[in-house]
Amino acid sequence: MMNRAVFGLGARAAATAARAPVLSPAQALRAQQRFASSSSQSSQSAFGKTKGEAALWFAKAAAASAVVGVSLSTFVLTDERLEPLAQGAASLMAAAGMPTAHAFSTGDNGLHPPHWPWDYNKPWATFDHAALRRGYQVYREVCAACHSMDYIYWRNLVGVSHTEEEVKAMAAEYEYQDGPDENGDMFMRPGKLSDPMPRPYVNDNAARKANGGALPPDLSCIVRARHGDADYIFSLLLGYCEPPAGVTVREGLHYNPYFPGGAIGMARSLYDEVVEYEDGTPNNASQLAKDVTQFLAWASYPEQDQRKKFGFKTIGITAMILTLAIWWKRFKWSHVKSKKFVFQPNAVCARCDCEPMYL
Amino acid sequence: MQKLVYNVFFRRSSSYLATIFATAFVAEIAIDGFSDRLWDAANRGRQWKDIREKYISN
Repeated sequence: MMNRAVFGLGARAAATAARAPVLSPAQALRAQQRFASSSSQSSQSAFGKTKGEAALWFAKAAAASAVVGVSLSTFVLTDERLEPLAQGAASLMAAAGMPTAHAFSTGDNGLHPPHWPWDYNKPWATFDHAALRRGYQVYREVCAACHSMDYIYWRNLVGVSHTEEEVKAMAAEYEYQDGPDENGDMFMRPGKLSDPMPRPYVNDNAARKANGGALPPDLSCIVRARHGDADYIFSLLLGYCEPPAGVTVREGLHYNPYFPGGAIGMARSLYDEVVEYEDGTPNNASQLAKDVTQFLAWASYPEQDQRKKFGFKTIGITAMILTLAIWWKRFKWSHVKSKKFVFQPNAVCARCDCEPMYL
Repeated sequence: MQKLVYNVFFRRSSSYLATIFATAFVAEIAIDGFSDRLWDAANRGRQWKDIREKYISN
């Protein structure tokens, strides 16, 4: 209308304007209904007309993702189906003349340790700090005779397994070289919180000399450093047994199926009741091994708590942002998706006076 | 109500920015507190603060 007034198209435009709104009562009713239904369409929320529909949509989406995920992992990508693919690839490589290596043998790589049910392996679980305290006791009384922990400092124990006073007293039991003093001489002083765990040997060569040529590895990061993590450490500590028939172990070595090669320099050290626990926990060998392994796991992964907390926060915040993003996309697209094209026969051309068959 | 919220928090860029900063501040405290409480509930009796009473000597 405004356009016509501005451009002053005259009587013809006036006639069009007069003719256009003429509708029979039935037509007007239908048009009103159309308008009503389309307006209710456009005011729907992004996930459906009602909250119930939206909730249903979310439930269906969650169920579908669960079904897809579970079926992918359980029914589609099973070992039975993947194995022939790997076999086929291997035979193809062999046919093409590519060299293949079969590196794994139990004797060379050690027996694969079972997955022990460590309770701190749950994504929401911290270490059992009472077990860390017992594990430190086992390390101090048994392992520390040969193994160093160069990268663990006394202060690391404060607030983890011991109080500050306890750790200060423990550190003061050892002498550390310090200096130089005003005369340029080095001197010995009692340990402080800032000192590392004392070394059992002055250097690696002395350690080798004392242990028949085998170097006791540093235990600071031993769980991180061994394939199989804590499972390996625990199995190794308790895995000593008689060598099977046909296997001879050199003098000074010990047979342990979990150790790569089978012959380990370390003798079995954990027996029932070699350590007396202060909190009354049963001190059989498997309990000692479990506690000291947990302590070593803490030494290797001191950041575990922080890592797990950050992981959960990240997942939570990302889930919120993802929900917002999905809602925003559907909000923006709802106009496009609910748009309707209506066919009106015998309509009058809005631009001129003609009566086209299709507008 | 919507109009009031829009006028106070979203209309001007300065107030919008202030809203974002304040929301981030509050949300971080809330999420940290919430996740810490969840963590403590899931690890009741396992953390150092749960067992330290046994070893304090004074």
